[in-house]
Amino acid sequence: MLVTPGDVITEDTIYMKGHGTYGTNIEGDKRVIASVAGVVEPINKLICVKPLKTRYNGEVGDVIVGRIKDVQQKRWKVETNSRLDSVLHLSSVNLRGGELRRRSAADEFAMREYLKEGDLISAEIQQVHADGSLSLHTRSLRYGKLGQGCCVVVSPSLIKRRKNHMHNLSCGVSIILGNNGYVWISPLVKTATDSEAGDGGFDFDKEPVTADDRETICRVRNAILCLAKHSVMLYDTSVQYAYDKSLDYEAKHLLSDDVASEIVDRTLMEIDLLKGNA
Amino acid sequence: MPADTRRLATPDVSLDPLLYSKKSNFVVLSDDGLRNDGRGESDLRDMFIECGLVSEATGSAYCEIGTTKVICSVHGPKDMEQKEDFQMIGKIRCEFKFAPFSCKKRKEHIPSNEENELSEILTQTLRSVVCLKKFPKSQIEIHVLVLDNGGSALAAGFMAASLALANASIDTFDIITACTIRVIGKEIYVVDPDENEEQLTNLSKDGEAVDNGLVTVAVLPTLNQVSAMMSSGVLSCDVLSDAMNLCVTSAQSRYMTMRECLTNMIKKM
Repeated sequence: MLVTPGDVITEDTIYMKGHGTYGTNIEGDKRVIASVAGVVEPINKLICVKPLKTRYNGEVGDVIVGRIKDVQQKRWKVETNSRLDSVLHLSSVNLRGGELRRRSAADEFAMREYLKEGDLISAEIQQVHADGSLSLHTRSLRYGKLGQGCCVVVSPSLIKRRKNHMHNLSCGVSIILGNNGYVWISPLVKTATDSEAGDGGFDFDKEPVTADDRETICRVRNAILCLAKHSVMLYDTSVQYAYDKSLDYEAKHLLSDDVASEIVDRTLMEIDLLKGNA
Repeated sequence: MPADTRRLATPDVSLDPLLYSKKSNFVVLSDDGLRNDGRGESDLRDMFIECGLVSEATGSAYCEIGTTKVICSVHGPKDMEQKEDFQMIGKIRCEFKFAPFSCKKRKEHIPSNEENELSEILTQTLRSVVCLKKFPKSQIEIHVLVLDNGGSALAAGFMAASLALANASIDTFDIITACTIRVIGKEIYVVDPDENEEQLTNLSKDGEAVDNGLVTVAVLPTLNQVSAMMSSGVLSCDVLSDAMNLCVTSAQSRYMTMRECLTNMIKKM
């Protein structure tokens, strides 16, 4: 059911108002009215309206990919496709020379050497504040500055919440599906045990990326865009299947509408088969 | 007015070409009760409205009423500038601007008093329509640009702004429909005037100054509330209230077009 702002969804009192709806607080008026334009999603007794564009609403523990927007005193402002910018405190990152060092004034001045405006990082949400802004941390060797690779932006609602968001796909790329809709595709990363202890995740591999790897990354990116265009949920299996089905075409042809729909149809069939067997 | 130093000065002796234009005897209603474009007194012009044109903006809408063309882009919600005080409700900043080529006389780039007043009215109206409690410490910026002023630019601006907000998925209580009426004497209420009918500074047929003015009303159709009312000119109380009622009913009839545009936008998704 499609609604526009101001449409009355129901007058039944049993329903509760969720996202995208409101009720007039007038005595005796029990209408549930839509406040955004979108599709009504009833979840049992809760009525929500799923709008066209959603900003990312963070939860503690989500993995996100963000871009440094500003360097301030003792913290960085990170852009994560949410309503307010997220914050990465100096105390929430691993510094070179051991984790438990006290942050000195010298560290504050050297912040820009670690992360400056425009850098992409992967991080985890530590805390959600009352106004909705997020505090991030990169206190694990899995997180940190992202180096060579490609970032794709999709709607946050398409990223399936899973236990693990960092995958090494069998096609030869490593992928981070940020919950905020930013997906990072890069050549296969070495596991954390290989990297130097205590480097804090700020240095990245500057080895030139081979042409084959670049092609694979490009194909994965286009496959993700095909899936996003048709509102298919993104997770490691769906991306892997879409990649496999796209091998019949050249990477650049994936951007056209008919090729995209074909690939999505075949991917969905494959996913159904998997579900049917499970 | 501060001097514009970037442009070459005009020749010393230069006159406005409009001084030489033929003065036409402009009559609002002909003898058979029709206006210059063939409309009746209370007929609205056709409206074309479309969302999502400006790719850089969070939401955008384009509205055409007759020859009036208005485009609105919405940015946000985004962080408020640090200088502002901490507030648990969001802030709205609006700008209403006429493009320099939109009216008969060239508009300056610096906002004139009229544009500042219209920006303020737009801000106040949208403040009552957007659910600001859902956007603490954020601000939403709305820019309305009139590309061609063919009359009723403010009404078109209201409608474009409300659709742009819906396109940006910003929570609002309702969509806004608006209408303008030109009052000429106690009898004549010209609905949805074009630029000639709007700028008519002539007095009514009998030479009366009273009951000569322009009324714009913005309505929230499903909630049945008036969210903006702007009138200029000299209007007596009963004439003003009649004009307002007529505006409200005319604005309500715009609702279906706007709703159809929004449902098409959702379907395209």
